[in-house]
Amino acid sequence: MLALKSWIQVAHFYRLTRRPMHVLWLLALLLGSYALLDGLWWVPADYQQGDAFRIIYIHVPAAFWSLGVYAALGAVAALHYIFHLRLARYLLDALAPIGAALTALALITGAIWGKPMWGTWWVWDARLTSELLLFFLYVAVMALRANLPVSPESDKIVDLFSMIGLLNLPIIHFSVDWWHTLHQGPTLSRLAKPSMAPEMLYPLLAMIVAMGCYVGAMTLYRTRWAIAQTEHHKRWFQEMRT
Amino acid sequence: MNYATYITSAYLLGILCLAWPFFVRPVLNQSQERLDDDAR
Repeated sequence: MLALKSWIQVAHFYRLTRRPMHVLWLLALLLGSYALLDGLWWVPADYQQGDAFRIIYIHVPAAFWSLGVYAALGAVAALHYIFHLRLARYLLDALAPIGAALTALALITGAIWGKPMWGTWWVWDARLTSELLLFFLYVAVMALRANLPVSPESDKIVDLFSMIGLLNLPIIHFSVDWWHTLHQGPTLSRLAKPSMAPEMLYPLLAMIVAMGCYVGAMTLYRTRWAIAQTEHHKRWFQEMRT
Repeated sequence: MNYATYITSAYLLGILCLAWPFFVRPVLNQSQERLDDDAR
């Protein structure tokens, strides 16, 4: 409990996260390199889609973490709303652009995959539309944080807006089951009976873990950047530098 | 376009998107700490 309490203080967080950040960058690089080599060269082409299926190794991890990052963003918004933790606000600011980038990547690579497979870049089906809504949610959180004046009311608006956005996550996840969509059904939630051959699945899992390490490392990097920019004049920061 | 073009564009755009958060400047609310209870 004592360890947890010290982690949620900004000064302790800043001191303790330097090494974990470097480890996560290294893991992301190593695992990502293996997944790219395996997915792009070593795995044989799909019998129906040919080589075009190789887009899966960037599309699915990006889509997976676009949801994961929003879940984390909603959680830190709730922490800030309830406990007024300064660290939770730094984390929210760090997570929003990362989530926006991953959602944009999932949408763009989906379009690039859709064109040769479906014959169209975009359709207004449930999965694609709810994912586009997720992108707008991230942009809205960033815009609110950048433009609202600093006040307790503004903070509540950002926290509540971020938490209400969580409702979109189950809609995205179950959209392929609830509606008839052009998008295919789930690939990952059926690991007990996977819909992919194992040699195609391993690089996909490796890339999902690699992208998770990227998300962790980038979150720490952006949080530490914001802390350094905002708190450099404080005594704890200057003592640490000397 | 052949498949190689689609795949190459997807992965190049991937690098761009993943690099983008490096360049988004943090929100600098110098007075944020006034609002939060663990300010010190």
